[in-house]
Amino acid sequence: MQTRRTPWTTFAVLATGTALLAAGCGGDDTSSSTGDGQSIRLVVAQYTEGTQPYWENLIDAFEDEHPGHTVDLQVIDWGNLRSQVNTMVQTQQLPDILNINLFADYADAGLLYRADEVMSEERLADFVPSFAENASYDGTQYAFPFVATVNGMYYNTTILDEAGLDGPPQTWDEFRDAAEAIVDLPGDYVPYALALGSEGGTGEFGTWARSNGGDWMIDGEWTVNGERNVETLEFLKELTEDGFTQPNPGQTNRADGTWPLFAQGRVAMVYASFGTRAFMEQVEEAGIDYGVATHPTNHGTEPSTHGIQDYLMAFRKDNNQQAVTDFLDYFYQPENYAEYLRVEGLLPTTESGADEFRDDDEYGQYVELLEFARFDPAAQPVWAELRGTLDSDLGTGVSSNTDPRELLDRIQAIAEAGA
Amino acid sequence: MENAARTQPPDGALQPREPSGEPPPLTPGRRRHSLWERLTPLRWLTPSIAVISLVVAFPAAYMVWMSFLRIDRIGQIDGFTGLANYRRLFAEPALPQIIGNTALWLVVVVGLTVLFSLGLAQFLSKSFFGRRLVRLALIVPWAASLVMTATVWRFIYEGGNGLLNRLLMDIGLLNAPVDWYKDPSVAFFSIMAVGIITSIPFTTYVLLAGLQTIPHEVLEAAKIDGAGPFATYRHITLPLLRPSMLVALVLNMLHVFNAFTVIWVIAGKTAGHHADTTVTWMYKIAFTVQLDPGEAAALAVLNVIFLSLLVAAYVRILRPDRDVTTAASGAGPTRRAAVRAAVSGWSERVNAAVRPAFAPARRAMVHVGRGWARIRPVGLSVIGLLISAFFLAPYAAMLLGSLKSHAELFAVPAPYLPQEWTWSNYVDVWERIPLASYFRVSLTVALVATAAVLLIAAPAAYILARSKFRGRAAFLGIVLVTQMFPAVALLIGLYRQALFVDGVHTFWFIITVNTAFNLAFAIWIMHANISSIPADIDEAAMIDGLGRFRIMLRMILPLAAPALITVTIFTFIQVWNEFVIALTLFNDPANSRVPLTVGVQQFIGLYETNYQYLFAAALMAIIPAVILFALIERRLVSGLTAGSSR
Repeated sequence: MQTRRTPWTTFAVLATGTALLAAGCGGDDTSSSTGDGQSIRLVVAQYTEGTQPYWENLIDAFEDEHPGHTVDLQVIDWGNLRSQVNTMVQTQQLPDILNINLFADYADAGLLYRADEVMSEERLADFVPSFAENASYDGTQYAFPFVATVNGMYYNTTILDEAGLDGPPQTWDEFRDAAEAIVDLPGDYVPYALALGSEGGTGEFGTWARSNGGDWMIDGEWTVNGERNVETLEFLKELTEDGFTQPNPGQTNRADGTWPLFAQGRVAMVYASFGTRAFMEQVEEAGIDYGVATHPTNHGTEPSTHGIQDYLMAFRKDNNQQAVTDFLDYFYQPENYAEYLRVEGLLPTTESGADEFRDDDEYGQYVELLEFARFDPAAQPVWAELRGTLDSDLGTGVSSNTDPRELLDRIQAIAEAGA
Repeated sequence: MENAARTQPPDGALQPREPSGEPPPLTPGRRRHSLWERLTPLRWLTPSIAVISLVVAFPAAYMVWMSFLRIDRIGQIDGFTGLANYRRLFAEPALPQIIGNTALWLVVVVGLTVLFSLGLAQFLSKSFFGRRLVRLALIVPWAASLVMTATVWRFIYEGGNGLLNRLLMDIGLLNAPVDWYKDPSVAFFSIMAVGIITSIPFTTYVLLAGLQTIPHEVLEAAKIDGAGPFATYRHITLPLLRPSMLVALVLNMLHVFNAFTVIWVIAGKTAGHHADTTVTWMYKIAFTVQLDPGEAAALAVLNVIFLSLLVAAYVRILRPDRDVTTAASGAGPTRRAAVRAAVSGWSERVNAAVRPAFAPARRAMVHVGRGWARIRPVGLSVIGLLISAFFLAPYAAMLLGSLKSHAELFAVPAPYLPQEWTWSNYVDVWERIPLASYFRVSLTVALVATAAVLLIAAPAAYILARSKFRGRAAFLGIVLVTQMFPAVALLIGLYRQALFVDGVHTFWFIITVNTAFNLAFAIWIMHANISSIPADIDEAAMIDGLGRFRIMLRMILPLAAPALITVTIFTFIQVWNEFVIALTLFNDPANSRVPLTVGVQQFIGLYETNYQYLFAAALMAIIPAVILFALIERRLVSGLTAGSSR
């Protein structure tokens, strides 16, 4: 009875055996990082419902023009993109071309082609310089500026009129006066819809901070807990406590939070992506009389807009250089690129694209603003982690029991540890 | 009870209950035979052991291995790092809050779920007009994709434009809208409510299956002996329900502990940790905030250890391997006696202590009881209707939402009805995405996996219920471990394994994975149910010369119909709604290998989410499960009668 092999021991033996077997063989499978030179794998983020059809069509056309080449497409929504790409990296199933919102870590790990290895000089010169610079790591461009948004303030002209204002506030003092006037109106208006939830909170706070002379990084030094940033968070906290925002701004996001409020005409001012269809469609459908502005500034700071760009990047694998080069070249052909931007309702990152859109009734005004955009320090590898923490925690900074300085100190420590 | 317990074989090898009392002397042939006999449990368990160990062991081991590796932000392994991941985890300032949240979540959600489900199961075991409707209504929240259910709850919970606020303000319970899921002081509780509501259907069905194995005579006997409904419930029903209760509690604990979707969808994009449990925090650590897969793996390992301890402690207390069947399996007179003893013991105590004091109350109760008896048929139907309405309400909101325009979805206050009923959404969605193909793929995977689960789990459950062998409890525990891993933590190991066997984006691999991960629930539910079927049936059949396999097939499985049905529905729904693993392992649009849950993600953009189509697709996705249920629902009822009229 004692020596009998029980199912339990059998099970354990089986389990261990399988684990060992699988661990032993599943280790370094590098076969897939060697391309056959003909087929490449394209992993892209899903911006809208139009994303997948666009790429399917583009790939069909590309394969027709380049017989023998095939492109495997994988479209992943933003909510799962990061975890999926991490799985690919960890299991060494790298895509050949990837579209995501960061690149520095991949460049730092030596996984990427330099931009000039897979793109002609002529095409590279077409990128708007500030974008190309924001796609460079350690002075070398690794990523390809893909699409951009410029973010700033939309205001509801009708509400501002009602409050007796002839335009959007230019300074923080004016802003506060305006907010008081709007709150006193009978319409139960929200003076400023603030979205510090984890979807866009970092962008919105960064915009306010820069309008106060602060920033995440100044002259190559991390300044997350700089005086101006602390002052900004305290200012936003005051706005919240004074009831100048909608309730719980720390838990509010844009697309399902502040933007619909603005589209309902209940909000006087809001931070939004200029021209983004998800925002504009609702606003125009509702017939809101709106204007576009930069955020009010403090300490006499120069006004600015907030530029955000996403990237394409090419992973270094045996035998894929030519196919990757061909495909990137095909995508960035002005007509293909412009078509993509129209599908997604986003702004160009190339000069030729900008030219194409400059005369556009709708996009023209925003394209002009592109060149004045200021960026987050996305070329710093630690930014990915920093932004994650900011997204997750900044919103708690406006709740009554949080000390803004303490919060920013903690995040500064992450930045410095990673730098 | 004592008597009956003694008739069980002593702990040790399986003993076919031979008619003669004395074991014959061991001859060599006899010995071989007895070895063969002793290995019986192993033979019956082999399929499940094989599937589980082949599929689950490697990713689980890999997860543990990862917790000792330094993995950088993009997923590259930088080498072995010892306990550094664990140290980093323990240094996280949010840790105490997360642990508190998790404990609260577990206790409140599991506790209330089981409590409500007990009542609901009891209610559903009565017969009244409309019972079928209530049962169908319960299937809907269960069959609906959790992601979509959580999404619609987020809409319901919205502040100014929320349906709940609109409703509560219309009936005058609220003056100003509450930010149900945004306000940090109420958010976690709001999410708990969703957790409870989504766990009730499954739990109720497990308990209902248990209730239906309680022989009618026992309850009749109690009635004859003068036990009131409460005494019967407390002393007869509850003890007999113990195996099912145990299953319901354990499975709920695992389910609820690893409940990622509900919390993530509702509060994943709100700042702070006020609504995070260890599973959502794990995801944040790995993929959104710290970007540290190693530390996340460490948390996953601790999670599994904690859950194992919890379940072990729990099992120790409730002892599922103590043979519960004895209570019900004694011969008629013994059972009567037991019942009478229990009832009279109880009533004596009551008589002595309580009767004088409560005499007026008792009289009142009798009046109420008489009044209730008169309106009972109608009353039960009305209550049933209300319960159905409650469980269907979110899906009604989903249906209306699928017909509303984007502006209406966010309008303040929320409109109950859409202005224009754009039914065309339901037609358009088939053209927007290859929905028919997604349905085909999901249906194939779900049906095959369900069949496989039933085939593999049935013999295992039968042998576990019918023979005593060493390692039986261990086996039951081990299969449960497969339910303790959060899917996100296993993903990378599973993917490696899929690469190794060349199973990425293949039907057979995703089906095998789904089968392996659903075996545990199936084995547990069926084991509990078969345990409560009297063993005399087997004995009688064995005397008639039937082999074990035939006994299982012809005698026991038909009697275990309620459990089979619960398992079928459960597995089908789980596989049908599985998302995380399919997204990585079975997602190949070029070859039309995309399941429904993955396919509908196309409606979720960076800023634009097309809720109309999402909701339309989600509602249509409920239909197969409801049809499946409607088809076999009759068996659920007839299983009951078969059990009692035997």
